[in-house]
Amino acid sequence: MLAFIARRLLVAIPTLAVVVALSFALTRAAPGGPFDEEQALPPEIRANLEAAYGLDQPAHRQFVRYVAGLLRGDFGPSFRFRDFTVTELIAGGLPVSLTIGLAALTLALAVGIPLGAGAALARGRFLDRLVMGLAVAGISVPVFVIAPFFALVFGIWLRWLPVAGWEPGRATDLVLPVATLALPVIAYVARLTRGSLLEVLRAPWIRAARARGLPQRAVLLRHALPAALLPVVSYLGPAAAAVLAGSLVVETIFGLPGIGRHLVQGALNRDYTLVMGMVIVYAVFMILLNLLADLAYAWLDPRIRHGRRA
Amino acid sequence: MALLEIRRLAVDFTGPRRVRAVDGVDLDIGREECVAIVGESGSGKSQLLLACVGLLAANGRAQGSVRFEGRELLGAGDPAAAVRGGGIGFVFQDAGGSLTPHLRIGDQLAEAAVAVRGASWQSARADAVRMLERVQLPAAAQQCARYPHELSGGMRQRVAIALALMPRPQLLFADEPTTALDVTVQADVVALLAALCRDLGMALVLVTHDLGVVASLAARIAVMYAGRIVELADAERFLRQPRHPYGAGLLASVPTLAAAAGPMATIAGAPPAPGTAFAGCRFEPRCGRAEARCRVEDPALVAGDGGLVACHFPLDAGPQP
Ligand SMILES: Nc1ncnc2c1ncn2[C@@H]1O[C@H](COP(=O)(O)OP(=O)(O)OP(=O)(O)O)[C@@H](O)[C@H]1O
Ligand code: SF4
Ligand SMILES: [Mg+2]
Repeated sequence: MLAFIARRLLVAIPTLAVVVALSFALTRAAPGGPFDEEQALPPEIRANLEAAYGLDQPAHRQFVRYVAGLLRGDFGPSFRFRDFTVTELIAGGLPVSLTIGLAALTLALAVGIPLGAGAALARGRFLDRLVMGLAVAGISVPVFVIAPFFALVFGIWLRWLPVAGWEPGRATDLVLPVATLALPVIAYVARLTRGSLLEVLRAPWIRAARARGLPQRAVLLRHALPAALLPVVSYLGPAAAAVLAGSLVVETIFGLPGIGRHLVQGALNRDYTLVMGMVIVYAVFMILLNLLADLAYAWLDPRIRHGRRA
Repeated sequence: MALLEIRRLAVDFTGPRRVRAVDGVDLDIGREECVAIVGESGSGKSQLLLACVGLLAANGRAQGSVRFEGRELLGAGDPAAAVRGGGIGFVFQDAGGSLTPHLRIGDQLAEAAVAVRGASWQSARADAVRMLERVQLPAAAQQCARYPHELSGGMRQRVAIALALMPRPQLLFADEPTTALDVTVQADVVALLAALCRDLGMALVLVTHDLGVVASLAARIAVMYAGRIVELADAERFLRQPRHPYGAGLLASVPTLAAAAGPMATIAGAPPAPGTAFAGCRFEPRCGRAEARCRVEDPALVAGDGGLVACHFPLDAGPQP
């Protein structure tokens, strides 16, 4: 198991290298630069700024400098937030983003799996139709529609929750963003769980477990569910990507000081270092979450576990 | 009172067309008795057993009555659940597929004893090893830590038998427990089943295509054709002289027992398609002894010569020993 983790982390290094190179190339390829503003800067000030940030140097020199900084754990200075380094900006927003992202994923699993399992057991009956109807809605309505809708209903009409904003330690601020992010994932997880559980329940070894006289609960929880969750675990990687993409929208709409807005703002401002720093942070999280998903998969399915060892 | 009493059991499947897989079966299984069920593929052997323990597919429905120790197993609310495992064990046709892939062999075995018999986990684990030894699995103690996919097909088969035995059933349904196996180990498994029944005082219903197995194991034999029992007889007598033309055909198609066969060498034709309706004898299109009466009158299963036979013109039972 440890060897497997080590190997996966080793493979992640070239992946990250590609991410760094690509994000560097793409940010430079975008038209415009960090110091293009509505009001053009006097040429000498602009030249000074570019020299100060090393932008006057050829691209390959800039790249080498950037990578050298990365290896020291330095994401470089932000070109726009001139008093901050990218590291500081990310460190400032990361706890907020991590909290809502992980909370949304956890909520999605905690709600989606029981809903899907319940629907499978009530197959064709009211509960099943209700859950699957909601799931279709949850999957097809985009986050940028759900978010303002929730803000309107729960924040403005019902006044149950704050419309937007963030104060450290005020958990109510998190409810709407997390629910918004989780909703499509809940819907997808519920559908996956339902389909997969229905299929597993038809397996010969489920009939054999019932023939042995095992109580329904044990058949369901010990024999059927772990096998039925395999597709859900496989979906964790894409789910994390969906939450990540959703968080960009959600943080903006609910005014949360996470890192999502840095990516959006950074891209609009051509804040090269900030955008690259964000892309790298996201890439690292995706790699870690996919590794986690693979470990969970191996834990649920001994055939995978042994196949890898061989 | 017999241990298991099956009365007028019928099994219907709904679907594009209604299929009657079992059509009015009566059968008693006594305590510690071994009964074999034979018949071509599709004759309803598996559905008969599945109906008894309430494990028909979702589109299947059983009618009639099945009593285990006098307790009715058919009806609303899955009454058979109470006897599954501890009363009636089941070894399935695809026994290798009966093991839960993500649970260790030892855990599955122990769970069956804990959940059904209320054994403690500790004693159940010791029991599991003993049971694996009993089904002659090599290195029984080590196998407990392994997962099903790590075992060969033959080993999985033995584990499946051990699993069915863990709740200590009084009656075991073994549905073709050897077909998935190598010919070389088939005889072993059959001998094993016979020994287990003797040692554990367990009754056995064995579905098989292999009349050689019947000869060595069963006291009585039931021959099924198109959802009915067409002959029910003492196994020894049946193997010497079957009375139903279909039973005779089955016996004739077994190479080693061909000498004992009746006038037919093989059974011509194919069994009726599922869902066929019958006016007279359902074997009539394939029967060499058929006469006009067979086409219009359905033969009842009636007693005669140490058994029951459903035929207007049964073969001669021959001299009684
Ligand atoms: N779920 C189902 N829906 C419809 N028909 C079914 C279903 N299950 C079984 N049958 C039908 O029931 C009939 C009897 O099947 P059964 O499995 O009892 O045969 P069998 O005697 O065990 O044959 P084999 O020796 O091949 O195992 C078959 O004609 C089959 O098509
Ligand atoms: S009743 Fe007639 S057709 Fe049917 S098995 Fe007997 S002889 Fe053959
Ligand atoms: Mg069968």
